[in-house]
Amino acid sequence: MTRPLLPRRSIGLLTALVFLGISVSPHAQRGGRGGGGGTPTGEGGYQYSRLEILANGFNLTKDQKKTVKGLLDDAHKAAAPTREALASSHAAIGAAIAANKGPAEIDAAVKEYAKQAAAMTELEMKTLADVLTHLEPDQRTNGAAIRSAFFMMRGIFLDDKKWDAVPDSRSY
Amino acid sequence: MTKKLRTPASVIVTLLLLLPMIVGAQSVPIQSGMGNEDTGAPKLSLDEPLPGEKIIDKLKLDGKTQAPEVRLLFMDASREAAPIGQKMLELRQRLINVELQKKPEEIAPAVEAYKAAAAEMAALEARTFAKIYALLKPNQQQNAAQAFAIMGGMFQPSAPRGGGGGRGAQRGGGQ
Repeated sequence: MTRPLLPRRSIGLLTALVFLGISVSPHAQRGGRGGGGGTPTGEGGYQYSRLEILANGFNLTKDQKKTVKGLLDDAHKAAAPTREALASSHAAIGAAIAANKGPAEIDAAVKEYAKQAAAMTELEMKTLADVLTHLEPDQRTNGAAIRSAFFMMRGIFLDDKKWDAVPDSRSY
Repeated sequence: MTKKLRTPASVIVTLLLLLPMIVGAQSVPIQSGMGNEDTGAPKLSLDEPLPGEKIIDKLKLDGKTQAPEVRLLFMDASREAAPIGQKMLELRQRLINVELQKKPEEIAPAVEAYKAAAAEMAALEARTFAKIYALLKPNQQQNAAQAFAIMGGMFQPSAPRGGGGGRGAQRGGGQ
């Protein structure tokens, strides 16, 4: 599968759709049961894995599913150093508080953690953008699927073993 | 996967057809998350405790004295976190848009802004944790590190989880 190069107009449209689609999310999600941007479930409470959520939401073809899986596998590998730094810098904040360290030390730990959080966020958003640019134009107009994917991306690479699991409450 | 270009007219029509749905979604009011509203979203799942309750369990807090106090701390922190979480969400949005627009020069400023917001949120988590830590008895402090690990990102808005898990605006804040 070759990666399509989107014409400028399509990118602009996609961007507009992503913006419009995602911009509703904070309100939709606030109550938890949200207005259609949440993580979908199957019948009988079956819990979809992240790849299943993407595949079902965007109605991915077999080839697209393979491509998306490859993109996320690669990003998960690339996230390893940030994931480790994120965990250790967060633990350092807790340790500084438990050791009754002064504000300067706690502040330094907080800044280091924030740096790693920003790096992880950048990777998550870049990966989602990669996924979206591999979709067909009609798939990219699916606002609900985009919202689900957008929220699902936060913390997707926190597990050191795999990303394709049922989303849980772990975050950063 | 092959690229299929649509005519601008059909794309615009698609966009226009989507607009009512989008606008409709924007008007969805803030919900309690307690399951009384029928938004069509997955039903609330109680299979996993809220992060705040996990922390209370992890620290083995006394249910009559310590736990209520900690729940209040979480609620206060949730309120304080709301605008920060909103800012972080908007910055994530900005990041994906500049990625899609292929504007690499705008990525670094967005990441920097996110870093500042993440520092605000982490500082809030740290202040909340410090208040909780001060309530702990010596034998409860041994699990403090694990409890703090659960706090990571708990005051940020998140989507309902798979399995029908609406978690509310804050993952553990509004107990």
